[in-house]
Amino acid sequence: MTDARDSILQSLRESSNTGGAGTIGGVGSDEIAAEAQALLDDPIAVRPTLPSADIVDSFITRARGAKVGATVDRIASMETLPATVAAYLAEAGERAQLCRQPTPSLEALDWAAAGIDVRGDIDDGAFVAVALWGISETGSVVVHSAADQPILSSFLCGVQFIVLKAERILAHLEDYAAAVQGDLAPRNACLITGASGTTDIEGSLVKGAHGPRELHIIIVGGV
Amino acid sequence: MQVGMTSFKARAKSALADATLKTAIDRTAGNAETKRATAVGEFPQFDAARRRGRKIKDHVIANLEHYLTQFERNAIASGAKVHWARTSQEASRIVIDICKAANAKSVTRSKSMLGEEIGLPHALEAAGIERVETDLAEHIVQLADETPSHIVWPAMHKTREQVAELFKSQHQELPASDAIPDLVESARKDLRRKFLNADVGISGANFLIADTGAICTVTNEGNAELTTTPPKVHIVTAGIEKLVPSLGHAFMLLRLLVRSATGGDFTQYTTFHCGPKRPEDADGPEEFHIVLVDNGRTKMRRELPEMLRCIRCGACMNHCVVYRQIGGHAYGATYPGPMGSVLTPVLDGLKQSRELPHACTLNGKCAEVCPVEIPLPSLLRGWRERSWKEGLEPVTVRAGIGGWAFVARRPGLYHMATAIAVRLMRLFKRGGRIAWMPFAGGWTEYRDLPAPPKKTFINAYHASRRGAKP
Repeated sequence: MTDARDSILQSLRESSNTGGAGTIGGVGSDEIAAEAQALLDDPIAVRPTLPSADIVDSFITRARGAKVGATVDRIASMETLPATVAAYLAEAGERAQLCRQPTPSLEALDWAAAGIDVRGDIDDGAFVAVALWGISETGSVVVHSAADQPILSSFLCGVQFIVLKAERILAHLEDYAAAVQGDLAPRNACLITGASGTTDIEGSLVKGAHGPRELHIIIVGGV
Repeated sequence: MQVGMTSFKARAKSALADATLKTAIDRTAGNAETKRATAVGEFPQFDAARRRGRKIKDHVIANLEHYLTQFERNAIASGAKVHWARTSQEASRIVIDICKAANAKSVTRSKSMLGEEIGLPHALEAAGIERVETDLAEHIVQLADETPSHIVWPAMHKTREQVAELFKSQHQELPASDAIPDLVESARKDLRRKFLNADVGISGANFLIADTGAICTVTNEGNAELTTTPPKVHIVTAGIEKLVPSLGHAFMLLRLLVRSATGGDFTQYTTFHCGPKRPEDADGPEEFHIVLVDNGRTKMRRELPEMLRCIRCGACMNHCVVYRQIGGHAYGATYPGPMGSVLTPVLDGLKQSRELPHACTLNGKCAEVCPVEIPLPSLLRGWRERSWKEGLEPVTVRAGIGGWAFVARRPGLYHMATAIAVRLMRLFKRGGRIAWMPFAGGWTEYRDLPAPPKKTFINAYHASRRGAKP
C-alpha cells in the first residue's frame, strides 16, 4: 500500500504549501517540537486541582468518590496483605480464594495462613496485582504488561485487588507521563479507574459490564 | 455508510411520531447533559483547558505529515505493521485481507466509529467472518440488526424494555428480569466465551501517540482490552487526524473528552497499546496492525480544517434540540447530530446530504459545549451556502427564496406586500391568535400564531416619527 501512503502524504504536503487555513507549511522538525513542547507549558492552568494538599489523601478521596467508586484500605506493610484481602472477601460474601499476579512480592506472602486458597484459574473470581503507580488527580492505578503482569487477568476477574505502594502515588497525569518519558513503552499501559461499568442501557450505571464488578485498592506504607 | 434511500424529511417525520424513541433519547441524553454540566462545573479550568485542546489539535493538523511519519516510524520500531488507506473501501479491504491471512473465523470488535464509517461490519459479513460486537450498546445494535444512533451511546434509541426483548430472544443466558443490572449480567455471560474464542480483535483508536507509536483506547466496560488481548491478531483502524505529539498531549485532550462525553473525570480503562506481544510478555497478540485511514480527511484539511479537531465526544448531539427530537437514525449517516451534519457532506457528498445542514436552528448550543471549540453553526451555514451556489437546493426553495429576494430588494414593493399580508392574516385572528390560516398548516398544527398588530412596524415607525416632529 505504498501508493496510498505516498498519495496521502503528497496530498498533505500540497495543502501545506498552498497555505490552506490553519496550516503552516514548510516548518522544520525542531520548530514543530518546540511548538509541541510549548503546548504542555503551564499545566496548572489547564488541569483540575487536587482535593487536598496531601497526595495520598487526594488519591483516596478521588478513588472513593462516586465517579471511580473503588474501596480503599491502608496497611503498614505487605505482610498484612493476605489478612486484609481475606477480611474484604469475607465481608463481601465472596469465597476465600484468589488468583495472584505471578510476581515475587505477592508469591512470597503466606496466603494460606490467612485462610485463602490460591488458585490458577481466574474466571470471574478474585485477582490481586501490584500497580506500578497511582494518580491522585483521577484516582487511577497503572499496570504495565510484562512477564509477571498478564493484562487479561485484570479484565476477566470479578473482584480486583490492586496493591499500591504509597510512595508510588503521583499527583497528576502529567507526572505519570514524565515518569515514563524516555522508557521503552510497554505493550499495554493500562490506567485503571474503577471497576468495569456501563451506562449503555438508558444511561443508567451498572458495575461489572465485562470485567471486575468491584475494585479494591490497598495502599501499602506511608501510614 | 451511504445516506439511506428515503429522504431526511420522511425519516425525521417518522422519528417525531415515535414516542418510545423520544423517551429513550431523553433518558440517556438528558442524563449526559446533566452530568457534563456537573463535571465542567467542578473543573474551573475547563475553558482554559479547551483553548489548549484546540491549540493542540490545530498544531497537529497543521503538521500532520510530520506526525504521521513520526508515528509510523515509532510504530514500526515497536513491531507494528502500518497500513495506509485512501478510501473506506481500501481500508476495509486491508482489514479483511489481514483477517483472511490469519484464517479468521470469528472477529471481536471494540466500538469504533471509524469502523462504522468505513463499512467494516458489512465488509466482515460479506467475507463470511463472524463479527462479535463487544461494546454493550454495539451488541444491542447488532442483535437488533440496526446501526448506531449515537457516537458514544450507539443504542441510545432503545429503551430497557426493548433491550430485554432482544436479550430474551437471542441470548443463551437469559436475563433474570427486565431490570438493567440483570440485562447487563446476561450480556456479560453471553459475550465472555466469545472474547476468548476470537481469532482477530479489531479496535479503533482515540489517540495515536506520535513519539512512541502507541495507540490509545478508552472504555468504561473494559471491552477494548478483552477484544485486543486474547486473539493472535489485533487490528487498529484510525483516522489520520487522531495523532497527538506525546502522552502529555493525550492526557490534556482526555480531560476534555471524558467530561464532555459522559460527565466522568476519566474513563475506567484508558489503555495505551504499543506493538505486538514481546517475547517475555505473559499475554498479548502476536501481530499488531494499524490501518491509517484518510477517507476525505486530507480534503477536509484544505476545506474544513476546524472539523479535524473533533475528538468524537458526542456533546454536540446531546445538546442539540434537533437531535433530541429525532434521534440519530433520522440523519441516515454514520455520524449524526451537528458534527455529523458537517461531516456527512464530506463523506457522502453534499448532493446526497444537503438536507442535513438545514436540520439546525443555529441556536449555537453545539459550539458552546464543543471541547475543542469547533464553530459548528458556521460550518453548517457554510454547507448551506455551498449547496445554494452549486444549485443543489430544490426548484421550489430556489423559486421561493428568489421571489422573496426580489421583493425584499424593493422597499416600496416590500412595504406594500407586508401591509397586504398583515391585513389578510388579521382576517383569521380569533382573540389575538391565529389557530388556522391557509398555507400555515405546518405552523398552526402544533401551536397558534400570534396575530400581527394592525400596522406594520414600518408604518408604526413612520407614524411615530411624524408625531414626534415639532
